[in-house]
Amino acid sequence: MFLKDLVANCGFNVVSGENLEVEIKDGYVGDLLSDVMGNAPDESIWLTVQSHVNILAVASITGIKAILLCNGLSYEEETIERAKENGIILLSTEKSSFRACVDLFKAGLR
Amino acid sequence: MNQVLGEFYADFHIHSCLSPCGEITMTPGAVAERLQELGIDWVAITDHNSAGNVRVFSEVLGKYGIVVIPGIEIHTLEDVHLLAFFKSVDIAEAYSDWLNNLIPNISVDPEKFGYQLYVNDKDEFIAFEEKWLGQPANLKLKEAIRSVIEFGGFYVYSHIERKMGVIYQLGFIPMLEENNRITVEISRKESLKTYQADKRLNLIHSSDAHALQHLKPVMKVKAEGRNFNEFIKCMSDRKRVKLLWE
Repeated sequence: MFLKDLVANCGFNVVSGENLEVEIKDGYVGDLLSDVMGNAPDESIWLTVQSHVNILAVASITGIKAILLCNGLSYEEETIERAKENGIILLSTEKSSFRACVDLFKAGLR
Repeated sequence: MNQVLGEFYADFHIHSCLSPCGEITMTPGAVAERLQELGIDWVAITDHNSAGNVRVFSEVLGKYGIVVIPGIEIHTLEDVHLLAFFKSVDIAEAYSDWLNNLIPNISVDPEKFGYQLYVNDKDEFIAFEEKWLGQPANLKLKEAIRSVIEFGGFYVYSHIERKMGVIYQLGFIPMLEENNRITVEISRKESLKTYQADKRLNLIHSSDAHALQHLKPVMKVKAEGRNFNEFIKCMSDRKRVKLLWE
């Protein structure tokens, strides 16, 4: 699945990242850095409520392509700036992680 | 007989250039000069998951008349930051070595996530830490607290109401069974009312400085002298600590 299709179908907000022509093969939900570092699949989208700058390092380590911040939370300025440098796409949604998962599934990610 | 108490300006949470988020300007000579300008004479160096720069800071700051409490900011599995303070540099380093074994061997690109630099007493960089210190150690919060106590140290929950703070991450403050009071660090003046009312808590405030311009007077403490025993007394007695806000 291409990220641009997922974003369009699910109605997520794009916070940073210009090129959405990125292939997403899997997803992961988690709010503990250690858990995500240990378990998130490569080329995935990560659903979380964490917005601390450390999430970018976790994404880099695991090969996560995009982060979706759920529950209507917002990223810190520093996180947005660093995401641009690191080529990690930041998304946000008002939905809970669970509801966002359902939408991603309906959009064809499975 | 009444105790003779001196007054000291203290800041017990300062990062050096070893922390991934710490600027490379946070070297002992530069920090010492800034602290001296500000009149701060009792500090703790608390880098993320390591006490690797504590010894050199202790030596250099000592020459400026500033006393250093050796410390570490532990990053637990719950993504909670916990400040640990130790009686001597030797003990802090021993704890640091023990903790290092619990940090996964994961490195990140320093260009992107910050350099982790060891420094000498001339403010020269002598080595860099390859393991990413900004990740959680394989240590649960309760285990982290127990380990600090086993090393004869003192713990304080970091910036409880901010990201990576215990209230922010967990929503509550875990108390050990035998605890009747613990010490927590608050970041915002607005939090004072909320937590001052909780009789189980002693409150401290710090700069959590990652750059020289973040250093500022944050606490005035009353102590007989600047040593570890008096430090614990200050941290455990509301009457001895005055929090300063800009």
